[in-house]
Amino acid sequence: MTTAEALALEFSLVPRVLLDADEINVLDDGLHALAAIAEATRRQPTVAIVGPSGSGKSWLVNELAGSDVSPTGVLRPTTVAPVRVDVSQRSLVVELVDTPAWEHSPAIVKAEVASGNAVVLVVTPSRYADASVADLLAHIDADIPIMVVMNRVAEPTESGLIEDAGRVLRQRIVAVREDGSVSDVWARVSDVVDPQDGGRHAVLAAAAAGSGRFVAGTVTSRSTGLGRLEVALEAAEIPTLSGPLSVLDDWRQTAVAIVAAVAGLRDGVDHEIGYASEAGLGERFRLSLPEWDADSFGRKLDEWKLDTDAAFIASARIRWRPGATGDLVRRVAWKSAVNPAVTLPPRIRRVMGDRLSDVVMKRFDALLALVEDAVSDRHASWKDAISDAARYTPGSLLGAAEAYEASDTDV
Amino acid sequence: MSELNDILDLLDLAIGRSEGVLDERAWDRAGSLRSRLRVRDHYLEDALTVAFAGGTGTGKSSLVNAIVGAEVVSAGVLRPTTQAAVAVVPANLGGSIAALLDAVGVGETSDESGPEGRVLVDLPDYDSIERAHREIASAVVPNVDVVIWVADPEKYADPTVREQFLEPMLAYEDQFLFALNKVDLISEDVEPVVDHFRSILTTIGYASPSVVATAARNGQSGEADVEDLAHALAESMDTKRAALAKAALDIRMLSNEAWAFCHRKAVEWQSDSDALAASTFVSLGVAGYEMHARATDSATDRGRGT
Repeated sequence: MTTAEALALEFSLVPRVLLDADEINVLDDGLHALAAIAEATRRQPTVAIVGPSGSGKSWLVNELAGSDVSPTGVLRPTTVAPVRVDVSQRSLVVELVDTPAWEHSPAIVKAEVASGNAVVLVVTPSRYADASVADLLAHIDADIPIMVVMNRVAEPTESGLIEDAGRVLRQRIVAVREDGSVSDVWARVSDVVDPQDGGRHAVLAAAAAGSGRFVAGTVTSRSTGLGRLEVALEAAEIPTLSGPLSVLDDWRQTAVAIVAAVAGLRDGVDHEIGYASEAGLGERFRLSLPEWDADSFGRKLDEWKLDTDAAFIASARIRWRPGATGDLVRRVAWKSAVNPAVTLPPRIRRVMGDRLSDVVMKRFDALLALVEDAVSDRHASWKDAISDAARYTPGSLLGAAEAYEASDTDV
Repeated sequence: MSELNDILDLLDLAIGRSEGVLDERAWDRAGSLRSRLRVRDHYLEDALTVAFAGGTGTGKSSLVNAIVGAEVVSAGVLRPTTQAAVAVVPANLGGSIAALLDAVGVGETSDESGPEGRVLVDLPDYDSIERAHREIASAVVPNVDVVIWVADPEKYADPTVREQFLEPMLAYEDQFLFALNKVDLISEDVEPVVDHFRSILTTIGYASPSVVATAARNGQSGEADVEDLAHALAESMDTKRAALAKAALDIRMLSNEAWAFCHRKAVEWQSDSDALAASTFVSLGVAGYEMHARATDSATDRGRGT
């Protein structure tokens, strides 16, 4: 995993509930920057490293790649066929092609130059004015960006050397010292292969890293508010019904009233926990919780009604002609199961006899359990959300952002 | 009178007899060779002309300076550095040698003087963007007695100089000494690079090229090391012999070419004057061959530098 991928992963783990809208924008900006860099990376430009014999093309490729991918040597020509290597820094990936010397294999060099996105011409203080170098430059299409690297520049640089080479080659020269750093070369490569905007990659990378730092800092500072929510969660009691459920004329109306009552209880949970913290944070948590599926709860109530009817019928002591008992029970018996205080018609009481109160209490308890489940479910949602957020440690995001930033300086 | 003088008399005769037979340019070439060799003959015992030729940045000027042991020609970092052929003349000859320099085609003389018995000529490069430099160098190289071809570890295998110089100059191979300069830049064994350079020369056709490793200037490390080259130049080369060998070679090449031309013409036109010119060039060629053989015979002391 690259440092960019690691940072993107950390971004995805941040509990967005802890952030306000502006802060979420910052986080998204970071993700977008990473995505844009990744997209640019997928295009993977090719850079041909060309130059006269012995100028140190393979050395430069190896330095940029950070490993010996193309053999170097003192016997000329050293490189006889193109050597390709993907070089990545941060998330910019470039395919470098080490080519044979121009004088030895012009056809190969021409082909690589033509198919590449940019060219790095490597010269040395002793051979920047070679006719073969001028010849090579003349063979590079005007629309292909060229960087000229002068290798083996002495320390200190002979006065006027770089300027003179710039004049002779009509190019800006990047000087590289023997055993020196090639980071300047890499910077120029990054500029050149991203022609839309030389600094675009750097800006995006800085935005991603900065976003990571900011979000990590914000999440850390939110821990106070989160702490209050945790305390409230611990203290919160799950509300219960303050009185009997209301019984309306028919079952449908009654069911709607029960659903409304349960919704009220769930709001009570939100109130008790959510308002313990600063309004913004608690409200964002509330909005982040899964919406209550009232329809599904309504269906459970209907099932409860059917089960209740069945329980009454099964317990009936007297049976009339088939169906008559059921009709009567189904019409009114459920009312006492919703509210045991409701007095059932004498006919029902007669049919049920001494088993009536037992059935009523069992079915009433079953209904209360349904209601309690729906309310404690809300409490559980709060608990999950808060503990998820509390479990998140912004340190790993900060670490990823720093690692991503640091990868800029490595080659 | 030297033996070269005798041959030049014969050359006079051949030139006289080939007027109107050779085409104008070839006849002029014969005339200018005669003028040059007359001058050469005059300075035969005094000095060898030694040209330093090679690609840009190989360190020709630095090598001249290192051999002399003083900054006699300017060796710069801006390329191409040397823009005209510059001669470094022995102190004892001074201004008296102007005619020789003129004959060789060198216009400038260093204020400083060089080693005894050697006129060192620092040439412009052969491969830079300044095409005029190659023309200057190409004009001088055929006129000097000895050519030191300077290569470096970066460009010793360049096809450019091979095609532009080493292949056309093969006829003068005996005059050549090869210096692989800047060997201080090679961090590993120098010998394989020297061997490779030698094998490239052999492939071109140089039968047994003398290659010496030199380090004329070193930037940061070590001291100049031109001992082998200096030795080859100073001690192993007999001034007169080497000059005669080169003159003989020039004569042979001229007569080979002229004889063939006159002979073809004589056959074609059944012309006695053409035939006479042809036979005179044959005599000249034979004389040149003999002189070359004498100059190089028992020349065991001729520098090979190895």
